[in-house]
Amino acid sequence: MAEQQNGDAPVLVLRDLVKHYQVPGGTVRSVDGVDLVIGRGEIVGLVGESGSGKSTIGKMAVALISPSSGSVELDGVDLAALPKRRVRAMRKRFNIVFQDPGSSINPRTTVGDAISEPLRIHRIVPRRRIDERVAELLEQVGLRPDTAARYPHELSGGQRQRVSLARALAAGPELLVADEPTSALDVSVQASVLNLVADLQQNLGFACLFISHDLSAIEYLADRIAVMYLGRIVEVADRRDLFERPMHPYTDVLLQAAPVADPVEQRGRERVVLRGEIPSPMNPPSGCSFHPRCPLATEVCRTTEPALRTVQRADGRTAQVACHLVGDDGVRAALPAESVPVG
Amino acid sequence: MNVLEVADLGVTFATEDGPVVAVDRLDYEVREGEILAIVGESGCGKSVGVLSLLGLQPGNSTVSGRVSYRGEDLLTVSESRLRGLRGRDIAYIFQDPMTALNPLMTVGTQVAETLRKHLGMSKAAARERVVELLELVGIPAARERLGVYPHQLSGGMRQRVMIAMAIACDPKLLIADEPTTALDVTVQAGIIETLKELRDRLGMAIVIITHDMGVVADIADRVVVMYAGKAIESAPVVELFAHPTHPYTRGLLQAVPQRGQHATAHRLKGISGNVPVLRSTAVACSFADRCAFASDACRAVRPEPAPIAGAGHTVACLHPQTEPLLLQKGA
Repeated sequence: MAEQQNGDAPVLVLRDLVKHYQVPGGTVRSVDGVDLVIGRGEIVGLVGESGSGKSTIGKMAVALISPSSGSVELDGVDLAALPKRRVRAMRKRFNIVFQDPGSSINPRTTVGDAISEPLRIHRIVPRRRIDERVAELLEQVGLRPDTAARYPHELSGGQRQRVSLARALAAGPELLVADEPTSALDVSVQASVLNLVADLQQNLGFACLFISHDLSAIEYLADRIAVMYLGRIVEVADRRDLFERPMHPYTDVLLQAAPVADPVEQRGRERVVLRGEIPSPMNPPSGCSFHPRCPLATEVCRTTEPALRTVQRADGRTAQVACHLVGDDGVRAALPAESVPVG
Repeated sequence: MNVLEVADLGVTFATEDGPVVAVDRLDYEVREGEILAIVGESGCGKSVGVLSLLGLQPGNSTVSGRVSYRGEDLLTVSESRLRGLRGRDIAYIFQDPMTALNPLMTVGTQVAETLRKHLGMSKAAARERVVELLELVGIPAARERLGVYPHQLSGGMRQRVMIAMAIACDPKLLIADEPTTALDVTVQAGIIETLKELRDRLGMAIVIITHDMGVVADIADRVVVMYAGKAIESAPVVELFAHPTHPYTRGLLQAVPQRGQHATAHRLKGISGNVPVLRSTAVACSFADRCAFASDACRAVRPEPAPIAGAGHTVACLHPQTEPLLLQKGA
């Protein structure tokens, strides 16, 4: 079970988080000033296209890489400022699963060894109770206890992802980062992994940062959704609000671009096809980094970078958006109806 | 008029563990100017099925059946005839353009090479035609891009270069194998629009292979659903989504969360179990072990594709499901 430390204080707070990489020819601004809060037991979806920096955020949230600046606070403790030894001691409180479970499970160890390792390292249960606990964890993720004796290559992709979830949750973390956990799976298998993440979260109560490029998976699981573009968060909203009334023009075109599995509805949709492609994070545009592709961009968008600010909608719910064209009530002009030619 | 007719197509791999049947008596046809989607999950044989049409299957496989391209059987013609057809009459594009493009050759030279080889164009004429083709597939500032190398382009632009090469000789049939799977969704939307426009302007038929029902709904005129190397259901796109009849097709549609569905109020239905490995051609229903409706008959008889109510709709199932599929929204 998640440890309840200080009531409803958030589990994770990212403050002005920055990760820059120096490469020949310049600086890659992978994450460029991100603020995000995840409450206890909350599932926050982080959506964005490739290169938006969403995976880099996930890795910083679990101290796999350290930020260039800013802070990652878990229960109020800044992981980035802690000595390595103390971070190690905190590792049982957060964990991560990746797209490819093959890369996070050692192919030469049995499933049982992989799951029991965190139990031994963090001394979660007495040595004599480890096998019993492994069996419980396997059942919790829908695998038979005798799976413990098998090797990862003997399992299907869906089963391997279940094993990596069991391992990630073995020490009872308060925070689970799931980085595209279903993206490598066939759709029929994706469904059962999505159900499993939802069930585990319900039963165990951990908070979850669910990272995906798949809008339907994000909508299915998340309570709140943050949208990233070029290293920045451009919108954070309750999942219903985000899908029904997207505020940022980028969120809008992203939703319009994802085809719906209904030919009549899909062919009747109006959609704006974006100009060009995501600019390089080595050389982000001036002002709002979305302005060169935005059908609504004005002069202020070209010159002034919009801050992520809180708005209050007519229904009373609050949200955050980084766009000059959205009013304090969360409303903005509609995108032009005709599709913008590519190029 | 059919541009392509595939009948009784079989592809069997010789592996260390014995033969594996990847394509198991597959039948379908492609009409002129039509966009046909072949949809299925990994390992269902959808890719090797189209590679084998022009002799591009891996070396450890054998191909049987009939593949008729405008009346000519491609499985019996000479290798030199196949070479003449490849790229000229039937062209391919793949998921990852980086593996199909030559990294040491500029974009302009690569596309021009196709024109010079197949159509015997002069260098200058080919160059002008390349600019037209790049513009046709939506590459901005086409003339300035002639001298760039593939690695200097984004994934979406590389895929556009691949499409330009594929349509260079005005093929009758374009085969696109997961052309947008590696791309971001906003880039995917542009590529799909481009493929639709090309079909409308040039009149070529397109076979698109995908696992994404959203892409199918967006682009296809007709759909073939594959499972374990077979066509288990086929129908015009609106008919298929309105009346999905094979339990596997219905399972695929139900597995994906619909707009408005949330885990707190809705449970997704996965399809339990795994795709079987076929050692020989199936003599029973290959889906029976994963199917909630399977009976003894399903394990004893192989269901053959048969027409059902609904224009052009066929299904290979002893227990076709006709209840409306409730993909309720807002649950």
